[in-house]
Amino acid sequence: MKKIVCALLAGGAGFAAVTGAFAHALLDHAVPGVGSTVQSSPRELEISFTQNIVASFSGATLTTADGAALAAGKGVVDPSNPSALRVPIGHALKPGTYVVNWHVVSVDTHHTSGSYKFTVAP
Amino acid sequence: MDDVTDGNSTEILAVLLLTRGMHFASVFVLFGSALYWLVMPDNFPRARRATDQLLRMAAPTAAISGVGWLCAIVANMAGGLSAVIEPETLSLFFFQTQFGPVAALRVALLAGCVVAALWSGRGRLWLIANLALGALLLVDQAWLGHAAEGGAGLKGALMIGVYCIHVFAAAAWLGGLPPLLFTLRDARESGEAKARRLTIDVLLRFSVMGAVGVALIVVSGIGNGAFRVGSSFAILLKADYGDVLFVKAALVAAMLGLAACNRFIALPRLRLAPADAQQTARLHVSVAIELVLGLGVLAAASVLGITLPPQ
Repeated sequence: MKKIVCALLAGGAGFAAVTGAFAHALLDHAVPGVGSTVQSSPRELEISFTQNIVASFSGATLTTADGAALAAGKGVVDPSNPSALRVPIGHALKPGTYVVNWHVVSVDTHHTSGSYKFTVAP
Repeated sequence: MDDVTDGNSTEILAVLLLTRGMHFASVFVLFGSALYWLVMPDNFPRARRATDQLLRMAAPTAAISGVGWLCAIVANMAGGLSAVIEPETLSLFFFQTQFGPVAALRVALLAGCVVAALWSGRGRLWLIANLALGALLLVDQAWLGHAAEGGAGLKGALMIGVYCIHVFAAAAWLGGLPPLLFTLRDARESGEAKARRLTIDVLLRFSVMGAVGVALIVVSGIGNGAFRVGSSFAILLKADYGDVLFVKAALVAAMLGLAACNRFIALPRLRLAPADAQQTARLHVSVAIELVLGLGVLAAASVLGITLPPQ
């Protein structure tokens, strides 16, 4: 029943019923990858989202696994790919696990945030 | 690990929910109620006066809730309500984002709402002003929502166009219900044969508007859905988002059912029956229920607007 009603709705019986769907920038993929292990320290973080993002309200921070903040540059939106945030790291990361905390605003004004880990191999 | 949240505090979500719902309801009234009296014969002076009062309340409500909604959007982006009074944040919002100019235009339109409420006239020009303000606010909103995602190309223009058709049709239908209720009240209290004939005329005209509106809502809804999820509608059923969508769908289905009953059962009875206040009273109650359901749909739309969609 739920499927039938929602299919009808998707057919347009509701006021802007489905217009909110996916209207948020969600993490699509990242370099270094989510949960991945890399052999050497990355020079920057590249975080791609499912929607174009707004540079002035988007950014990311980097911490160690136990929460110690690390210096990182200001995130910029890639001009050739407005759904990607690039954050220069500016220094070599020691082997270990790191947490990326990101927050973005999509071009349709929605705010999302999240985090993921990656590891630099010894 | 890949944790995602909508990044909002409970307070900001509450403000977003409240202001967005109030704003949409009042803008729908501005557009739909003004359109009603531009289309219908002006044979019910009491109903018209009641609509004028409603419009004079809706305009400042739209202005206040609209400013509140913009503040909530800024707070949502910046991560706190205090950001709303930070000049730097406001400068970023209005001058460093693609939706800044749209938001600035919206502020000007909201100021126009205040002027409309204070305007001493109540003729067609005043109705047209209310209609235009409602229409512009509905169009402007497209660039503050998902329809902006399409960009500047043909797809973006199509998304904006389809969105506008959708909200215009919805606002004409839902916003037309209060003046229809006022009209039915007049007819019910008058009880005269002439009033009954005029009521039937109004109902027939409204049913034509409603039929066109529903058709446009369906077609534009299909377009909206296709832009959003392609053929994967099943994904919409997941999580809390799907639950709210289901409630909203059920409310819309109930509204459509009531509208169909009014058009195809109640109206023919009214035309055939002798002057009978009972028939008008039933229609009155039915339209009132339709309006309440419509407010429920708007509330559900507001909840959807702050709910993280399924991933």
